[in-house]
Amino acid sequence: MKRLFSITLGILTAIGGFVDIGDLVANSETGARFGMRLAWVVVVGVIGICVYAEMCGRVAAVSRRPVFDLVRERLGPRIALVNLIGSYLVTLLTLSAEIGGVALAVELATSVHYLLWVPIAAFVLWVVLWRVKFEIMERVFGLAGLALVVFVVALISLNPPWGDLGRQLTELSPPGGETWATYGFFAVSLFAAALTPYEVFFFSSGGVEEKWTRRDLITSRLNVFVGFPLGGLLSLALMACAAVLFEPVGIRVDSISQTALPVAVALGKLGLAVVILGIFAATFGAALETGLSAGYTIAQYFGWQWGKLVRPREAARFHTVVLVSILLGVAILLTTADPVTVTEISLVFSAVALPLTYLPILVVANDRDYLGDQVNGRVTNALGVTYLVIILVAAVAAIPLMIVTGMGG
Amino acid sequence: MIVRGWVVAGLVAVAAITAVVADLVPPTEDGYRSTVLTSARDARSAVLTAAQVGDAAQHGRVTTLFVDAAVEDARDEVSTAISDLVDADVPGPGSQELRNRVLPLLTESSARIKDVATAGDDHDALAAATNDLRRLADALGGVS
Repeated sequence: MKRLFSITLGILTAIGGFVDIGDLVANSETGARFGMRLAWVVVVGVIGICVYAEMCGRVAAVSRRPVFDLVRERLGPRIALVNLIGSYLVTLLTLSAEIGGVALAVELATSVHYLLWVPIAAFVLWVVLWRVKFEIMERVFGLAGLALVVFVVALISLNPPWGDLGRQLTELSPPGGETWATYGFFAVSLFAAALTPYEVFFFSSGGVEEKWTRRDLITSRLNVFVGFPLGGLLSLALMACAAVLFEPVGIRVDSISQTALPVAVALGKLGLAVVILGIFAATFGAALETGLSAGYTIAQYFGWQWGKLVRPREAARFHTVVLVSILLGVAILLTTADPVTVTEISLVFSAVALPLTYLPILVVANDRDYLGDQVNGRVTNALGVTYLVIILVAAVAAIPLMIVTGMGG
Repeated sequence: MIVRGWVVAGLVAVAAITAVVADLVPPTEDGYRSTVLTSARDARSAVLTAAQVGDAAQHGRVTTLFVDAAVEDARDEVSTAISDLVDADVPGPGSQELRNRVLPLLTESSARIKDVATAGDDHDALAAATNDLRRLADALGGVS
């Protein structure tokens, strides 16, 4: 019974923790401009993150070491350094975007300008990372993120033209007024939002923090194969809400207040309160994950003591990296760069960095020295290689599409 | 390794020179028209969003604090559209005529969006503000 409860809690946490600022921005922007015509990208992205997160969970549970601890050992310091630089910079940009998302969520509730909330949000973030236990931290914000289920309720309440939405799902081309280039740009952004690199760093390091063993493989797989797809449904609900309210009248989404508006229109003030809570929890939870991931990547590369299982004094360099990363993230926002724009840029560069993150996972997950009888099977490898090709295409296309479309136009 | 370094440095230099040269090229009528149309489109989007927020406020579906935040976002969007238009060099009389037609619509948009926030709980004022915003959105949608 206790185990069932633990598994259920893990799945709920995975659902609530799936959506972050990238998903909030990319899905509502896309819904407003393309309706549900790019929903297939979310599905492709969710399958991709499931394939690779399962590998990471398996590596963590069997070897009891996080993937990126093994990358340097397996691929050597030079290749691992390229991986580290790319992954760290993208994670830093994502961390900045998440802190901005927290500040924007508080602005929606208080109408006090988000820039005033940025330092406060960052300080609270650091205190939580410093003081709160890993499991409590993950569970509280993951479960609070479930408040985003309000997008599903709002969608039903908006009484949308289901037939039109269904037709859009099968239209694999841009609508009138949009070009193939903008269609491609948003497809890449959505794909990157689903496969953001920090998600796998966090999942594999989190498995080690929670002391997963072979016995926990089932927990890991249920989190991935049940929790992530249900989290993906929240992304689709977000997209559909924007598609229903904004697409027919040609409104483009540029702010988080617009992301929340369909819920308010459908469900009133109570719905608005719940969606603001959900956005806060999703972005704060993701800020915790990206803050930790920034520390994980660097500490694991250099072989330092890391994680929240040991006292901060014993992992001083890890906590210093986390603190410096938070300060750098705040510095980016205090240039007055718009958090939504920072998010859009972070998604483009996430797409560019994806191969650096995912290729080593595939290599390590096939190494019998680490995984013994738990190495990838044929189906997993076929899916892994297929996704690596898609990831490479997205990585190559991201920057040219960004330039050609002027960040989506 | 050294050759690769030179190639990267060369690419960076070419990109920098391209960016500088692109900035020095005199604006064209088509380029200016594109800037105006983009500004009008973005402003229309902000105006319609403010109108939806106004509708929601009329029906008591949003808090005053949310209205303030959403209106501020919409006004920021229109301010950016105005800055883009004002900062662009006007290449000729045709462009000047277009600018003179669109700029007043944008400045009025910013003022009318603010009306949604200042209306508070006054239903009549909210209704008037949203009607004005929809009229402006139509006018901005007609810019070509």
